[in-house]
Amino acid sequence: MLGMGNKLRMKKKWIEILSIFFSYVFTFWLLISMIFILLRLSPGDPALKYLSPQLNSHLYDYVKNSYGLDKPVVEQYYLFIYNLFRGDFGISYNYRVPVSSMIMETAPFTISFSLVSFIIQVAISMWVIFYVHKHKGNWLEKSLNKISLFLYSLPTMTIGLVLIYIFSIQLGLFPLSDVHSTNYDELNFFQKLFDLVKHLTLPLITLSLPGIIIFYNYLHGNIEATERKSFIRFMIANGFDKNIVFKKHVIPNSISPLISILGTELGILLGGAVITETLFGLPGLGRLTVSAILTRDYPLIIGCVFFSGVFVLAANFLADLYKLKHDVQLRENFKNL
Amino acid sequence: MKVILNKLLSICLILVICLSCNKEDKSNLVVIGLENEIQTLNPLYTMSEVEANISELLFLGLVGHDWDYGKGEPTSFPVLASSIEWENDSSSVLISLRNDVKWENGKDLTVDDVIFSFDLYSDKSVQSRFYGTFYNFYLNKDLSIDLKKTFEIINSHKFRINFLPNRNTSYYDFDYPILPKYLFEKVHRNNLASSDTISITSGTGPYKIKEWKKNQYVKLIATSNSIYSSPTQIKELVFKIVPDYTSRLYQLKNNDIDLTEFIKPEDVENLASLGRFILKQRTGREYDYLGLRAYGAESNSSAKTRLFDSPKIRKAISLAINRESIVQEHLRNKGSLMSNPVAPIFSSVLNKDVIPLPFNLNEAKLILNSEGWNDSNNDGFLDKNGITFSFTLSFPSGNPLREYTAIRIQNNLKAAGIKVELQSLEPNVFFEKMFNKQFEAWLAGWSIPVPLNLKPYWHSDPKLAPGNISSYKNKRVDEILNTLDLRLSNNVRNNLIKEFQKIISEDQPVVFLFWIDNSVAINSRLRNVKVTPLATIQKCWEWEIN
Repeated sequence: MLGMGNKLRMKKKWIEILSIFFSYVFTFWLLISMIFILLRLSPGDPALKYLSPQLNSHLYDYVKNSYGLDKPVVEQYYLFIYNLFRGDFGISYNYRVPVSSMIMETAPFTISFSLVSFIIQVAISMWVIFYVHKHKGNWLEKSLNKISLFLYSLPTMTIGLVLIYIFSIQLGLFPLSDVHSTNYDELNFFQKLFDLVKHLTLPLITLSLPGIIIFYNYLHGNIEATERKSFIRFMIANGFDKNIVFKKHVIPNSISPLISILGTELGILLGGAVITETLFGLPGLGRLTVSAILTRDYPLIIGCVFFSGVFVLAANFLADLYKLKHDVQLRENFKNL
Repeated sequence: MKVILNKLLSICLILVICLSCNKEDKSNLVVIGLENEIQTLNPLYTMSEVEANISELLFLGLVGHDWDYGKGEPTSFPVLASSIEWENDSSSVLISLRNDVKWENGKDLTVDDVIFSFDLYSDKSVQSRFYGTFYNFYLNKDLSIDLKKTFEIINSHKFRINFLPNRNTSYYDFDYPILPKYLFEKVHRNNLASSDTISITSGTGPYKIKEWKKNQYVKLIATSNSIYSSPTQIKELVFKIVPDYTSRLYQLKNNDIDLTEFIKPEDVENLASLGRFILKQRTGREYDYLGLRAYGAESNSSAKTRLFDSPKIRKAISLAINRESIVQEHLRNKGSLMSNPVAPIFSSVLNKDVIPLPFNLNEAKLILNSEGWNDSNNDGFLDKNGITFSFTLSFPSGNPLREYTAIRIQNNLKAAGIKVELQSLEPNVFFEKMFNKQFEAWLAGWSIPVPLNLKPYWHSDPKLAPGNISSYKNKRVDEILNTLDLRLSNNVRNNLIKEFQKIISEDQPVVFLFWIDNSVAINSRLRNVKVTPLATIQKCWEWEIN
């Protein structure tokens, strides 16, 4: 009888997971289709560079045909979906290489760059939270409360430009662009490390600053709410060490809701990476996307969106699964559906 | 105590690391800053001038070119050819190849490689940028070169090229990088564009690709087996992509970049005053114009859209625009006024009697009045038959010079009684609309091809002249342009080009605004960098480091 109950519960759980999964697949299909349609509707011509008085006018038509742009849009869409299922993103119009290889070339940088930024965001915001909690009411807490909204509202582009102006142009402390020096290959391990740190300091600050503020504000609010809860008051009133209560009870109870915003935060992070990479001339997916959009390189745009979409939706999916496991209210809601 | 010691040790370690980071050794390395991404270095597909110039460092052609400032025209010299003998009527040329040129596999460069290369360049399935441009060759129906009629093989190192009779042939007809047949024939012609053959091989040039990071840089390394290889040759050339101008400028000032083009006029003096840079001007290759769509005989246009059909109206607009002030204020005299599309650098064919129209608002108003345009309703704008003289001027966004020029034109023409609405468009959208002739007035520019080729811009046949966006039509101009394709004496040719300049200046098919100089900044540690009207990045094997 008990076994039957377990099986039923497992079955329900799988149905819940599958329903979430399929809602993501649908969102993903919608995203890709919208991008495809919007690209075809938007003005601009991918074969424009072949329109030149110094080139033969037939070349433009041949190139356009070879891109498949002479076919009806419905047929183009069918081919696009068919190729997508085969894992074929096509050939980049500009670079004349498979889109997948372009993405494989640039995505590792963007992923590691975003990951390092994410770690920095979490680490610094946690440190600040601990510090502020230890020294409640000090200048840092007061000033952070006042300027956090201002820093949060600053666009990534503005942060980057201000940092470049102060630290690169005026003080000359950091390079203006690139991920490393031109003689990087000839450097020893320490020199390479220093070179990377020197080049990536400003981009990482630019990308991480808004995230630090988000995490700080969110955690700060959660911590204050948790600290007001009766079980925490009860523990402190019974003489438990304040620091232990804070580390073992307040923090874990405050972090849990944070997981739900991580998926969204990853999307923000990727959006920020696009701007940061373009601003600092970094060789990532963001810069590639911008360049593809400006030149109407349709296969490359779709490839970049596909990759970013998978990344963001996968993070959201994992966050949803986490919530499903830990959020009782959400689980109850699912059961009642 | 232990904590303090640990901290001290950490600081020492960081200091050691920092001190071990020496300044970049650039004694045999030159970094060239580029604005735009290099999409390909395959000579079949290079589209931009920079791409073509870099690919010529990898793959040499039969001939090379220089600029003769005395004559005001390009001169040619053999490169992979050891001798070039023209027939008296220029209908064929006998070419001997050098016998000391070898490919990477150790085999000689032969006539087979040359013919194979020409075949590739003209093959429809390859979709090379040169497809359909072999105007002086015997062609098949699909515009590929008729190899049997064109090439006559004498031996493995000697061949003849037969051209169509009575054509204006020159060294430029066979100025194409020669490709290694043994490598390129392995790739299906439809797939050549996406092949990585170029990245993995070295050609006949003095450099080969060492590393290529898309969107970042291309590193070239000196080869030892090229005819231009030498011990003094710079070992490594890095073409670094820095799209942002400010970033490029600061990297130049910071010695991270040794050479870059398109320095803004306002920065030229500042760079020169630093004493560490040589500033050179590349003149006469680019100009900006105000395009005015003339509909001529097209019946599907209303009276409103026929504003610019009359040459007198176009001349009045030219007179009403103060171009000199733009050259002085925005270009800071790094440019010059123009009267027609033949640049002053072509001094041998320049018609010195044709001078730029002056700024003369009164004369402009008189012409407009004589054409029936008057301010009858006193609203400050001219009108005729109830139609106000107004038009929309479109221009691409992100180009400060064109944005400034558009506003100046709007203000100048307002003073003449013409209402101008401005429309800024994203470049890709702008150029698509421009080539589809969807504008009534637009601001754009052209690069002048060398050797001078006017037909693609001014002939009335749209198939022959995709650059004739304003639909300009003049029978005599068509005759001149058609005749210039034929074999003529220098004197006749020069006179025809001078006549062309006179007609085009009178007709003003567009308002010719100004020639724009390309200011090139070169770090003074570099020597022998020749900036000519032909190119900036050329003959890099002759560059030296102080």
